[in-house]
Amino acid sequence: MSCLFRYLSIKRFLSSWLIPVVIIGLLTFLVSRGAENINYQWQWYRVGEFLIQFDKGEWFAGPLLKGLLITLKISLLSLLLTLVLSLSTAILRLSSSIVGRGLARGYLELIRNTPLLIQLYLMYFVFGPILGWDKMTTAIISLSLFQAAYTSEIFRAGLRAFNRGQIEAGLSLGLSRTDNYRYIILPQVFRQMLPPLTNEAVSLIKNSSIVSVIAIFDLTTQGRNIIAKTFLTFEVWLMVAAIYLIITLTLSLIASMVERRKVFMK
Amino acid sequence: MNGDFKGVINFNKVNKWFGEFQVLRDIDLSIQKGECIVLCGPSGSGKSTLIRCINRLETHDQGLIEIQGVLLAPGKTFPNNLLGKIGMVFQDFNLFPHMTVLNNLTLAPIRNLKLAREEAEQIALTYLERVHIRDQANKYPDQLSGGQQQRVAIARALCMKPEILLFDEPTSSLDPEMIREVLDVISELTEDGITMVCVTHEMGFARKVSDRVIFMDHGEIVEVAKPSDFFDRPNQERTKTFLNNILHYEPSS
Amino acid sequence: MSNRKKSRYRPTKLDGALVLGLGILSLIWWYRSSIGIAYQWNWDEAITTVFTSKKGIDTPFFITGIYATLRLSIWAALFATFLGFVLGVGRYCAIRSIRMFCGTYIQILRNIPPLVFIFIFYFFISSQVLPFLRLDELISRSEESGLGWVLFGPSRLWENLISGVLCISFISAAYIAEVVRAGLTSIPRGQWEAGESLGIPLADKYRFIIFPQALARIAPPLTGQYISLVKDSSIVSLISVQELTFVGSEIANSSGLLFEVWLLVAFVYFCLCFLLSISLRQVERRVTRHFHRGV
Repeated sequence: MSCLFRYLSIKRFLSSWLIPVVIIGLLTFLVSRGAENINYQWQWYRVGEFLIQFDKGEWFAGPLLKGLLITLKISLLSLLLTLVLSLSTAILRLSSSIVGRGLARGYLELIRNTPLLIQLYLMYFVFGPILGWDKMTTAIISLSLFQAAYTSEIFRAGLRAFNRGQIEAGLSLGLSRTDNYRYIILPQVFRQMLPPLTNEAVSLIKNSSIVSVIAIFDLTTQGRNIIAKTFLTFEVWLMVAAIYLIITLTLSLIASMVERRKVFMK
Repeated sequence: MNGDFKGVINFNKVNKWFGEFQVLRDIDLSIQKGECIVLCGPSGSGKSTLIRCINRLETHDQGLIEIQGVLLAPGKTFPNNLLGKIGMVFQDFNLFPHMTVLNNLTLAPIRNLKLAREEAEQIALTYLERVHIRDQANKYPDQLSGGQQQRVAIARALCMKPEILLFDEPTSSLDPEMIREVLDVISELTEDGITMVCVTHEMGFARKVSDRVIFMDHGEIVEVAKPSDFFDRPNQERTKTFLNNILHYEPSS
Repeated sequence: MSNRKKSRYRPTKLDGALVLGLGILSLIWWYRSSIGIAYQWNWDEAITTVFTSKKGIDTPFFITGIYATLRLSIWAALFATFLGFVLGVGRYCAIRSIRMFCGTYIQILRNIPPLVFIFIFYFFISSQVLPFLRLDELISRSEESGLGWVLFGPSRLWENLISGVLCISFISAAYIAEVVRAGLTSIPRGQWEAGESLGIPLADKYRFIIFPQALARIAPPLTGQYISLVKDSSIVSLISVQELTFVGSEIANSSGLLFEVWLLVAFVYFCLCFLLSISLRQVERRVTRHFHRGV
């Protein structure tokens, strides 16, 4: 039965990948026709060197690959900070402290009513200099603050919907409040939250491209720089978009597979 | 098993599959005009699928179905003029939650039969009266109890003046104290000459109200008989087992 | 909806800890900003710069930016809603190829970084589509009337406006489509079947049975999408659409009053979105009213 399941999910994996790839191929073809009209010289062979280079018997990462690594680094660090921030916010919102609730609510309203770009600029031009942060730190904090506002809703919903019976069982066994949280509530909440959290990770990776505006050398910035130097606009942008899509689509797919598997295993 | 009289609903060697699973096997059936048929059997025996083939919410894969003289080949759905002439009452009521009771009833006559609003409302109120629920005409479905909602559903189907009325386990979603009011309404309808096919577990109802009882198991018709014969002198083994299980409960040990 | 009884407020330990923490942070902030980097806050100059107009133009530059953002958002909301509904219904359609096509569009646009999309869009499409639409002819032929200015802005910036609107719309439409599709699939099958067994024609089924119920389910997430749309409009500043962020950036750089200007810009966005969300919540409450009726 489980091999059948695996076969079906591979099939689904392929078919959900295949169609976008086919359509991208089609669009590329159409676009290339348009490009011919303006006498664009295609130089696909040069794209490879932006990814990876072989020089003197060693592999070197090309600029795009370096940018990708920075993107991944920023996304990962932001994810960790986001988890901490959003969990704290969710707990504050559900707490009995009025200052805590107000603080959380104020934070959420502030973040959710201003654009990410503006927040980034504010961090970079105002808060960063005041608090002495470097560019990377500013970017990571800004992304995390933004994402945490949305992720906290997920945690809050998860914590509220949590089965009261579990808490009562813990309390009746004599566990303290913190122990209750630590051993009973949080582990279960996390397991349930995994699929929506993967969506947040996808969101982070997408939003990370915005750090390009403060000249951090992530994937997007590297793409822009290469285009500025070589004018290979089509090839490079398509490559950059494809790399992002591969990462985000894969993550989304893993999330939906995990979700399905959990239901299946029940 | 069945007479060769051409009835108003005829099934001839009807088969249907859901993927690999055969849900209807060689169904031969003939229902006369004005008859009240009860269809019973264990879960998964195909009873719901069978009646859904009558109003084409499901289509069959093999064999011939004839409804009121209209021949239906496998996979074919109704010509437009027959839609609505076969009413259905669902287990989950399926009332439209965003409309009042009155509008639930008048929607189809206005949009399908192209009646004027006043006329449609007159008809609707008459039928609401028949199911003893006229005073709730301007309420919304979620303000009514389950039994009331099902009666509204019956009135809604009746507004289209159907000649065939299908019931798909009409009382299975109801609390026990409300089952009676719905069954009473259905019993009263038998006087009207409408052909009725009712899938139900309510054996008391089957016994008192139906003209014939059909027992299905694993997709085939096992036994067809008048109620008195069916309950007192069942022929087939499977029928006997089913009746034993459903009429008397005794712990297995 | 929780019915919170009026409870007497009792300060908790957490309250105390938070207030203390906030106090410390404020001190650090004050110290760093006035002593650490010795920034001279200059609100007077900031306000005057922002609100005075350049020579020869009636409205201050900052205000034109606000107008531009409003214009962008409204046009984009209209177009994105239309496109989103079409795609959402398309995802629900019986014809497989339409489903897949809509599905692919949605997947790509939801998973690509907005920044990458607008750069690609800007290079490929605006250089092709706009000459195609013969916009230059239209611009030279038209005169600037009052209503025209309100709806579309100055004619020299029409190309700008169209690029911006299309960009934002294409991205938002993908999200709206998912909301629409979720709303449609949340309608129980029994509603379709009841309509079918009553003989109601297909168009009427959609009109009287499905859409009213779907709209009630679609309304809440849809309003959230509109707020996102206003926020996403800030991104088109990077392709030189002269909306609020772009304008703010120019003013900040030219006047050197970075702190004040950026805080002002953030404040304007905040007011816009906050007011929008309050008014949309009222609309939402009206649309979902049949969910609120109790037994």
